[in-house]
Amino acid sequence: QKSHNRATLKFRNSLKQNICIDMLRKGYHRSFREVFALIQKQAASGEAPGPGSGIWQPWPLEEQPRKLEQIQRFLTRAEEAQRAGCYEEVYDNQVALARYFEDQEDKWLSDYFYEVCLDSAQRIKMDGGEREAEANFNMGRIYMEQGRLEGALECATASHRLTAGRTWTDGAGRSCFARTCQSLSTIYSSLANKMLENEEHQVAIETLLKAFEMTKEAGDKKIEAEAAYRLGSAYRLVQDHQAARRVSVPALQGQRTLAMALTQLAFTDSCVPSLNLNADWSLHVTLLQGVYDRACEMFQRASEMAEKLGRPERLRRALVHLGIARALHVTATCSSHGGAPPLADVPRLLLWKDSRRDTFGDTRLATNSSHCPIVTCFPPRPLMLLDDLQDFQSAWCNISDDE
Amino acid sequence: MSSTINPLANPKGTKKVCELCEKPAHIQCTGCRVTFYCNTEHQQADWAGIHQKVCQLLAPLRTPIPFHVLGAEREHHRAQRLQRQEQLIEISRATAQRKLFEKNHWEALPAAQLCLCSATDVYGPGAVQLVPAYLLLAEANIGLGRFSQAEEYLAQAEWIVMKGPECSLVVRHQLHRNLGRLHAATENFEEALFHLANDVYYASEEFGLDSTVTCGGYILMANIFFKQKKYDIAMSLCTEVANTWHSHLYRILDSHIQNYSSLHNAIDEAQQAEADRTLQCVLELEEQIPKRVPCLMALACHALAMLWLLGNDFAKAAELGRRALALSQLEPDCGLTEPIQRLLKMSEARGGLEATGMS
Repeated sequence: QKSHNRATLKFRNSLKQNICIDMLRKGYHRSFREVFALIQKQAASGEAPGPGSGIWQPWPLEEQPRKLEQIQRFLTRAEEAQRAGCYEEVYDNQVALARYFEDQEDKWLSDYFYEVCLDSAQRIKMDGGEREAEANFNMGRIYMEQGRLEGALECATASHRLTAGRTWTDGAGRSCFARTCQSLSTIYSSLANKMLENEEHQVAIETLLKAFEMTKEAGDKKIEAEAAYRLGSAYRLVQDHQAARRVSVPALQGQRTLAMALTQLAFTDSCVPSLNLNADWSLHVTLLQGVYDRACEMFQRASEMAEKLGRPERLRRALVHLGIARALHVTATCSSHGGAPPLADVPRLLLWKDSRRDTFGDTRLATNSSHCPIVTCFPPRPLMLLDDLQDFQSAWCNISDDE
Repeated sequence: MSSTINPLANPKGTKKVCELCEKPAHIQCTGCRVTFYCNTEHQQADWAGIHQKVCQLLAPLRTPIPFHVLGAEREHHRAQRLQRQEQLIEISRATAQRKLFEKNHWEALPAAQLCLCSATDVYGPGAVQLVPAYLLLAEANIGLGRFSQAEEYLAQAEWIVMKGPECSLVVRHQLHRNLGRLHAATENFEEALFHLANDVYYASEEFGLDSTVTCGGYILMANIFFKQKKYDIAMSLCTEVANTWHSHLYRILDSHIQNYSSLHNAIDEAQQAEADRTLQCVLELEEQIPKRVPCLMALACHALAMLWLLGNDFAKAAELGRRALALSQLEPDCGLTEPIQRLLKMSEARGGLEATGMS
C-alpha cells in the first residue's frame, strides 16, 4: 500500500520535487543543494527583467525533465566520489556536465559547472595538475567571453604555469601548452587594445610584447604573425618605425597575415625615403587581401616615387595597378551599398551609372541620401563594373606581354 | 486547590469529565471552577503541563454564554470570546512546543491536548488549523514511545493536509518531519528517509537552503544512515549540519560584538535548545564512527561554545572552546584556530567579570 502511495505522489508532485526528494532520500544532499540553488538562481535572474529581455528564458529548468535527470545523474556520481575522497572522478563528472550544457541556451549552466570544476580540480593532488590546468584554461575562456579580462588573465596564467614543460594533449590531440599560450596571447592583446583606447601606449606595447612572446611559445606561425602585426601597429602609433620594421619582417613568414604584414612594411618603407622603391611587389598581396583603399594609397605613392626616380615602365605598371585597385575599391563599396537594406542608396547607384565617378566615399552625400525616394525594384548585388574591370584586365595583359 | 464533586449530583444532561482522560470527574479546580479531573494525579499533571497558565482564561470561555438584549452587545461578546479562544490556542501551542524542546514529553501532552480541543472549538473538525496541534500530540507521543497513538494523530494530520492543497509549506514540512521521526523510531528506515526528504525539501522551499530549520531534517537523516552503517553519508550530513549552525551562530555573535550590545537574549530559548540538541547529536555520531574527523569535531565544539557564550554560560563556553582548540590544532588547515582563540579570550574575560561581580 505504501509503494502505491509513492506512485501516486509522483504524479501529484512537481518534477522538481520528485527529483529533489529522490536525491535526498539516497543521502545526496549536496546534489540536492546544487540543483535547488540552480533552479532558484534561474528563477531570480529570469524574472527580474521579464519576457523579451536577453536573459529571460521561456523554458525554466524545472520543466525540462531530460536536463534535470542529466544533472542529477552526474551530480550524484560526483558526490559519491567526493565522499570517497576521489576528486579526479568528481572533476570528470562535473566536466561532463559542463560539456553537456555547452550550447547557447544553457550557457549559464555550462559556465557554472566549469566554475565548480575549477574548485574540485584544485583539490586533486595526484595527477600533477593536469586537470587543474584544464579547469583554469576553461575558466579563462569563460571570463574572456564575459569580458572580465583580469579574471581571465589570472586563470590563463595559472594554466600556463601548470602546463609549462608538460606534454599533455586535449581530446582533439592538440598540445595543452600551445592552447594555453594562444589563449593567453589573445587575452594580452585584448588588454592592450583597451590600453590603446585609453592612450596608454607604452604599457600597451609591453603587453603586446608579452602576447608576442606567448605566440612564439605556442609555435603557431599564423598567430605569431598576427601578434607581430599588432605589435608593429602599436609601434607605428608611437612613431617608432625602426622597431615596427624589426617586428614586421619576421612576421612575413606567416601565411594568411602576409598581406597585412606587407602593408605594414610598405608603410614603414614609404616613410623612410632613403629606401629603394620596391613597394609594388608587396601591394599585389594587399589587393588580394581586399584592403583596397590602403592599396590605392600605396600605388599612388609608388607611382609618385617612380616618377621621381625616372623609371617609366615602373610608372606605367604602378598606374595600371592603381587603376585596378581603384576599380575594385569602387566595386566593393557600390556592392555594399546595393546590398544594404536602406533602399535609398539605389537612386544614387543609378546616378552613378550615368557619371561613373567615385562619389561613394563622400559622407556629405551619404547623409543626404535619406531624403531620396525609395525605389522598389533593384538588383540584389549589382555587378555593373564588370565591363570596366575587363577593360583594365586587358590593359594589364598588354603590359605584361610588352615586358 | 481542589474540591470534591459527586458525579451523581450533576444536573441532568450535564456531563463533567476529566480534562485528560474523559472519564467521569470527581474533582473540580477551585481556581476556575470549570475544569474537572478524575483524580488528583491528573489534576497535578494538567496543572504542571498547562493549567497554571490558562486557569483564569478558561473560566469565561467555559461558562454558558449570558443573554444579551442588543445585537451589538452579542456581537461584541462573540468577538471577545473568539479573541480569548485564539489566545488560548496560542498559549497552549507555545507551551507544548517549549516542553517538547525541553524533551519534557509527558508535560507537553496536556498542553497539546488543550490546543487541539480549543482549535476544534474555533475552527471545527477537519480544519487545516488543527494540524499543528495534531503534530504536537504526535511528537509528544513519539517521545513517550506510544507509537500507535502517534501514528493515529499523524494519520489525521496527513489526511487534512492531503485534502487541503492550500496547506502552507511550514505545515507540510512539520508533518513530514514527524512522520519521519515516527518511522525512524519504529525502524522503518526507507519510509523515514522518504518523509525526511520531503521535510527537507519543504523546509528549503520555505526558509532557504542555509536555514537552521532544514538541519533538523538532516540530523535525523544522519542518524538513520548511521544506523544503516552508511557512515560516509552520515558524516557528510553531519558536516552540513555543523557548518550551517556554526555559520548561523557565528553571524549572531559577530553582529552582537560589532554593535557592542549585551549577549543577553541574543538567541531565544527554543533555538538554543534545538542548537544544543543538534550539535550534541553531531558529536555523539562522530564519536561512534570508526574514522575520526577532527575538523568536524572542532567545528561542532566551536559552535557549541558560541552557543553557550550566547546563553551566558561562560564556564561551559570556555570548556568547550578549549576542547575545540585542541581539536582544531590537529587539523591546522580548517582555519578555525584563530576564531576559537578569540572566543576563548572573550568567554574567559566575561567569566572573570561575572565572578568578580558575584563576590
